Parts: sequence; C-alpha cells; structure tokens
Amino acid sequence: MAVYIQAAAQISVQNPLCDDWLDNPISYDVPFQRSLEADYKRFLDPVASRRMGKILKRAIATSMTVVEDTGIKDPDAIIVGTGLGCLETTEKFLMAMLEEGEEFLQPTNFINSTHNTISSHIAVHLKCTGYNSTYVHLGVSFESALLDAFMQFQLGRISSALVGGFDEMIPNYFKVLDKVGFWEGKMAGETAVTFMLADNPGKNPMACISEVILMHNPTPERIENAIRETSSRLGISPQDWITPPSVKPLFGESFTNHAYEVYAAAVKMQRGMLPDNVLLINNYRDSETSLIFLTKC
Amino acid sequence: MEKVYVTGYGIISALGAGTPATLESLHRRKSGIGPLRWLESMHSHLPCAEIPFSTDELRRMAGVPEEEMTTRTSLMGIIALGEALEMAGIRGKNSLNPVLISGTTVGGMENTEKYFLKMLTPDKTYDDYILSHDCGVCTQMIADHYGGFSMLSTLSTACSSAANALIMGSDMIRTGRTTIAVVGGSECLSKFHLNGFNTLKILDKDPCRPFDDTRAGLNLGEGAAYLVLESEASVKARGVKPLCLVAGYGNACDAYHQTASSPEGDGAVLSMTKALKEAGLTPGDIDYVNAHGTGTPNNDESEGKALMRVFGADSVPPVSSTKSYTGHTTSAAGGVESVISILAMLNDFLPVNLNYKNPMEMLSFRPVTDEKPPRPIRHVMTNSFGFGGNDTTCIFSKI
Repeated sequence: MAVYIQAAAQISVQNPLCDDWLDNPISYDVPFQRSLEADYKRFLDPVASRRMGKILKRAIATSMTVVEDTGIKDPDAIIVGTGLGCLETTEKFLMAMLEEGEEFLQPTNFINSTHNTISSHIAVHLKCTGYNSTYVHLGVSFESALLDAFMQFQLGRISSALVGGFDEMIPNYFKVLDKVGFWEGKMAGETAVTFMLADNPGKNPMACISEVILMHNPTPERIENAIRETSSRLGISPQDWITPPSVKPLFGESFTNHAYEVYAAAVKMQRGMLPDNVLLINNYRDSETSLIFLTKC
Repeated sequence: MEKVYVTGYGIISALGAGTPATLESLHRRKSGIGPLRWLESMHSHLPCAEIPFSTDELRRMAGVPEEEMTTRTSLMGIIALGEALEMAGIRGKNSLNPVLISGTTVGGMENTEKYFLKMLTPDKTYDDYILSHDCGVCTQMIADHYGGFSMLSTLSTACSSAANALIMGSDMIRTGRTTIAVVGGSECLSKFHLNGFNTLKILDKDPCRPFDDTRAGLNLGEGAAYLVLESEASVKARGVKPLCLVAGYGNACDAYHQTASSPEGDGAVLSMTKALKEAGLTPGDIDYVNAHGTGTPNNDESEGKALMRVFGADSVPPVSSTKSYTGHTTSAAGGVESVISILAMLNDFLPVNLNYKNPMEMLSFRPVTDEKPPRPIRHVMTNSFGFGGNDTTCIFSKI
C-alpha cells in the first residue's frame, strides 16, 4: 500500500508558502530565529486573526494552502504533531498566574493553550468532523502523527488526511533550553508544515509514503533489521535507499522540524532531483528514532 | 479485523492505588472528591479529587530514588503501569517488546509552574526541570522505569487523550506493528489546570452532580490508568486467558467550538456510531454506558441528547458518570473510565451515579441509581470528550 503526498506547504525562516528556499535559501547567523510570517489576510478575517496565536495562523494558512492545491476540502482525518503545542499562549497564562496571582486570569489564553487547539482549529475552520488527533511525543511528534495517518489508510478507514507538524519557540523558553545546552550550537527555529495525503495520486503527486516506523532506544542492529525487513516487503534492495543531506540547518531546530525533511524530500522527488527511494532517519537525543520510507509515485 | 484483547489493567485515582481499592469504593459509593490536600492554590474552596498520597509517598510506592528527577504525573503513571504489567504477566519480560502509548495534557507543568520564574534568572539550580516540561518526557520516564518498551508515543487531545491512546495502540496491533500495546494516560492536578478550568467558570464549588438538573460544573481530579492490549496470536503464544475484548472504537471531531460541545452532541453521535459500527454491534447490544458526564450544564445536556439520538429516546441503556467518584481526571479519564467500565462488566454491576436527585427535563433517561444491572453485562461503552471537540468512544466486550 502507498500513501500519496498530494501537496505540502511550509511557513518557516525561509520565504513562506513557496519553494524559494530551493533556489534562493536565506541563511541566518543567529542562535534563534522566529519564522517569517505569511500574508494571513488571504486565509483569515482580521477579527479571527487577531484572536489567534502565531502557531494557529500558520497552521490555518498551510492547511488552507494544501486544501486549495488539492481540492480536498473535507479530509477524512486531521492529525497534528507538536512537541510543545501553543507555547506562546501557554506562557501568557502561566506568567500571568505566576506574576499576578490566581485571581484575575482570563480564559482565552487557557483555551488556546492546549496542544490539540491546533488540530481542532483546523477542524473548525474546514468544518471537518472526521478523525482528529494530536501527538506530542518529543522530537518524533510529527512522525507519530504521520504513523497514525498511515495506519488509518492501511486499515481502510480514510481516503485522505491532513497531517501537520507545528511548533513555536518563544524567547523565554529558548533561553532556558539554552541554559541547559539543549540547542547544541544549532539555530533554534519553529515549524509549520502541512501535508495533504491521499490514497490516490491526484493531479500531481509529490511522493509516496511507503512505511513509517518509530522506535524507542533502538540498537543499530534493530534499525538495520527494520530497514532490511521493510525493503524486502517493498521489493527494494536495502542498498537502494538514499538519505539526502539534511535541510534542518536551513529551517532551524524545533521538536517537529523533521517535517521539513519530509517536505523538502517530497519537493525534490517531485522535481526529479532525488532518486526514487528515499529513507529519512530522525534520531532525537538518542532515545526516539523514526524511519520514513518515501518512494517515487 | 484482527481481534484485540485486554490482558491486564492498572489504575490509581482519588479512589486509591490499584484495582481492588477502586472496585471497593465503587461498590460502597464512596467518592474521592474532597478539599485540596496537596496542591497549593488560593482556590482551596473548590473540591477536587486528589490521589490520597503525597508526591513523596508516590515516589516511595513507585520505587523511584530520591535523587531522580521526576513528576507527579510520571509517578502515578509508573504505579498504574506496574499493576497493568503485573496483571498481564509481562512485567520484566522485556523480550516481548511492547509499545507504550500514553495520553497527557500538561506533562511536567507542575514542575514548570514551580520553577519557571527561577529558571529565567541566572540561577541554574532548577534549569533541568525544563527537560521534564513537555508531555513526551513523562511517557519516557514511565516507560524507562520498567524498560523493554520498543516504541513510545504520547497523545494530547485534551480530555480524550487516553482514549485516543487506546485507538493508536489497537491500530498498531491491527496493522501488525506490535503484538502487545500498553495504552492509557496519566495526569496530575496542577495549578495551571485548576486555574485554567476556573477561568472557564465550569468548576463546581460543591461535589459534582452529573446528569442532575442542578449540576453546576465539574471537579478536577487526577489519575493514571493503563491497559495491556494484545493480539490473538500473542495471547495464544503466551498461554494467557484474556480478560475481555476491545470490540471497537470511534474518533470524531465536533468541529463546533474550542471549549463547548455542539447543542445536539453531533461529534458525540459520530464517535459512538463509529465505535458501534466497528464493533459490529447494534445500539441494543450495549449494556452500560460510562458517560463522559463531566457535570457541566453544557456537556451533560449535549451528551445526553447524543445518547438519545444514538440509542433512541426510549431505549438508552443504563448510563452513569463515575466522575462523581474520581473527579474529572482530564487526559487520563479515557484510561481511568475504561478500567472502571471493564470492572463493571467483569463484576456484573453498574457503578451508581453519585449525587443525582433531580431529573434533567430535556432527557428521557435517568442515570444509574441501582447497582444491580437489569441484564448480564456483556458490552460496555465509554465516552471521552475533549476540548476542541475531540470525541472518542470505546467499547469493550466480554469473551
């Protein structure tokens, strides 16, 4: 079984909602860079927009873009991965509580602080009553969402799915993570990537997802075995998988930035810039590992 | 579709640690809701359902050394998971490579809310707590206490998190990705949560009264519960007797409002209907519904109407909300209430809906007030609905 990536859209430190990064990458020499914002007027009325945090606006804009690109207006599933959720509104509520006390807190920031705010906002916006879920598992949050979508296709429950990876980073959180050496000298960034997946190729598919595997504390042998078994099942020689150079330096570090690897690989495969079989490996702090097998459609 | 069996479960809540304590409280109609004991908050007039153990006591019960960084959520999870693994007979059998899928909503917020301001100063004493802030770390701490888990994931769909973990784990078995999936959730009470719910004005200053006309809100609780799910092949290979069957489940989105349910319970109707369809059951087959039943005016009306739409106004099966015992254990509720539903089924009794006196006019049914079921319980349904309209229903069946 193959799942087709029919469309993908990103908002990041590169020019938003386009593939400019491919020919004209913007490079930064800073420890922490927030994303460039898109023109949200196209997707949201100003009143709604004012009430939303950055992460929600980015989620709506990337989601609307893949909906427009594919014509799939009512996906059967909306599944989101986010390492830290709506960090900005969470911090607002937390800081108000810590600095001003428990008396005069406002509900809006609490309502918009839950991790599933993102997937439910997309659902309300698209009026999608189908399967809806949110994964929050560290550096493989996005891959967890992708795995769930892949299984829903495998079990024949859905024929389309909107899958996204979203994270925002705020100065205070960046600072504390920096104090504990979390960033390892890499540029901290944010993530907003949405994919429209379907059981059919549509007009112009980007790539196919052939398998998604997650592992906890794997040994190198277990990873090798998983690649060998998957290859044999897919009828591809284990040596034929190539892993392209990482695009993470271009997009910055974030809990869900592996979504940019999938996005970039799919863009390049669609343009014939990569061989037919691509294996993307994510190793998050030596504890959580993901393998994503992409093939040419 | 491949069968998914339950071979073990574990629970900790305001009713105590472990299945026997839970069962006894349910039978004796003894609620765990009361004044705040452990959490420091100015809202101490709001009753909550805290676990009757301090964090230090939980640390000792879980066997986590003094010097190890942890969270109350993780300690509760470790204790509930231990009971589940023990019951299934898989504790320490690492060659079985189970997966752990856990639901939580604010992860290590209880540490973050204590130390965040200090972290923002040059003082480095509390910095490491930032690494316990996010939800996934709690799952890692729970899993790594026992070791042997081959894959982990964490869900956060507000109050349906643990129920959706059950879906993920079952689907992993059904797609052949694992033979054993341990699923559930853990969530401790935090100042962040208590204040958040308080701003929504949905916390009752009295013990909650689900499905009562005078209901005025929910009481927050804390809890953890895990279920060991297993494929038929694995059950046979290990030679164990499964306890019951995960018959079906359904996930749908109300897509109506960020915190309120649609007036007619559209999302709830969808999740219940999907679950029945997947279980291959008709509404008439369900012998007991453990409702989401938070006790807020909005939820109980919306869910009540949804139950009438799914089952027919005249044939709603016995319904109760056990949040009148455990409080609302938020992300863990799907796990806590799955275990309670299974206990009800296997012990053939209906958990009585506490604090119910006055019928709700718009509903055709009344919640359970008599423990004795009108017929043997073969199929139980449990609802978990979350903010954002994340509605999930699970059905368990006797074997």
